[in-house]
Amino acid sequence: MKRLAVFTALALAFLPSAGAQEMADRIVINGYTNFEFSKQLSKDGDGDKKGSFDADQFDLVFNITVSERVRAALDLSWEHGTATEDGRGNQAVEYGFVEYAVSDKLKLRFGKMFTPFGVFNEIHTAKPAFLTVKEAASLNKNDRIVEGGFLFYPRWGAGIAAHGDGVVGGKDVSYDVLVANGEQEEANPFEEDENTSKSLTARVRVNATENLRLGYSFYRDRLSSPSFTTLQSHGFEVELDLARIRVLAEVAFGSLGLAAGGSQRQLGWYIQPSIHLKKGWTPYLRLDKINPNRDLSETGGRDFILGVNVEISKNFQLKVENNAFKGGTRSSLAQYKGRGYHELKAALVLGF
Amino acid sequence: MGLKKLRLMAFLGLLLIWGSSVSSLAQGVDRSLRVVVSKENKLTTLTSDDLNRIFLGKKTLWDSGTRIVPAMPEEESPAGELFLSGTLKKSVAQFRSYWKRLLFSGGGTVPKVFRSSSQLMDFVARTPGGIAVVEASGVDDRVKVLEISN
Repeated sequence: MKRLAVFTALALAFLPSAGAQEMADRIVINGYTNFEFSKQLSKDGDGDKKGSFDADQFDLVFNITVSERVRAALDLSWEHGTATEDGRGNQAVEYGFVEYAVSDKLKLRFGKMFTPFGVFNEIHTAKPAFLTVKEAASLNKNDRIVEGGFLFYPRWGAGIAAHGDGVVGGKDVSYDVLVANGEQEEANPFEEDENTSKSLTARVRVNATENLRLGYSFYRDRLSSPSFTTLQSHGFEVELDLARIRVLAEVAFGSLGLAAGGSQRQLGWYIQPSIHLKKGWTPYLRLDKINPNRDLSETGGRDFILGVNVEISKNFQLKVENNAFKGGTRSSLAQYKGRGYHELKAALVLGF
Repeated sequence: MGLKKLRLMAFLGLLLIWGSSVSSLAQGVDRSLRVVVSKENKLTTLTSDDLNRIFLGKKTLWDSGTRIVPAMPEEESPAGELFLSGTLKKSVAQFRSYWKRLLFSGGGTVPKVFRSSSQLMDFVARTPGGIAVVEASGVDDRVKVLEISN
């Protein structure tokens, strides 16, 4: 942060003052960082048994106003203390796209983007943007609960998107449509498509009242995998945001076409109530459930989270929570006592 | 689905509808605040709905095609809290949470925040697409005051 500020100050110092001001107005730099600790509390389980610190994430977010109608957005990410010489960690462009605003109802985007499905995917790296330590696993990383499932959608897509905000029948409405290469078996999905079919993601959100937002998401792609033929998902989201009480809930239905015939049908959902108390304390619960195969019984699992988010100072948060994982008798957690385990997770998160 | 589950879902549904219908503060902008734009801006009035959309990143272009650049006092200052609770109908925490989601998902940039009215005036005066909420006592003749209609 300090280095960035020094660099920016030096860069601006060498420009004429009017030019420096214009540059500062046109280029906005934000970011976030996340430091985590996790420790499995039960004797057996799939969690972190030894207890680990994780320099999880450091991201810089750039917004560059190129002209009145053109904007570029970029999120550069360094994960797990990236050290490429040692092959450790990960660095990535989370998104990098150009937006051309025809109007507020139609903004066209080109580049690499998060798949606009549901609530969490587009912010799953941005830990300051949500209460819990991790995003809802049921919809975004369901193998963290039980194995045997599939992703409802790929997390990123390279392609062309449209976004718009407007008013329909007196209600604020927004939409997103993304046409992308989709997930690939071998090729870089942000460079090449392995088949002629493009993936389609669509989402619409309506502010039903001042405090209640409803949304629907859709994803479909034809796959080039020898094992799977198609992936199709539907998602529904509800967010009630009162002055102190907030309830967030989503459900997703997915269908993965099998080359051998038939399909695997998956269901994931969560509900997350929270209450914002004084001095920045926000206790929360989340029940996250995944059923990776709706045609089989006892294969699913859940993560029941009880935690608290404390805003220590502006945009600087401490999160502490217990995750109680439990699975059915035929799930990947069946081997453990009580078919589950507890794991403590904590994080220090800063957005800037 | 069992009757108990149906009853529980119906109860939760009613709770949601009740909760969402709880009305908030009155529409418009508090009398101690003004909404100002650059003198280059031809606009003279703005609806409170459009003002809300501007500060929530849903309206980003003036009719002329100029990009809107919103600015406001610090969220936790008296003027900032008055604007958030009275006009946007959001607490400081709700406002920050809303913008963190939008900002970090690539949806746009947070309204600029200034510590003083004179800084807000400077910003709007030099920014053709600028719009700011400012304390009435801090307005000077370098900017134009908009009339806000419901």
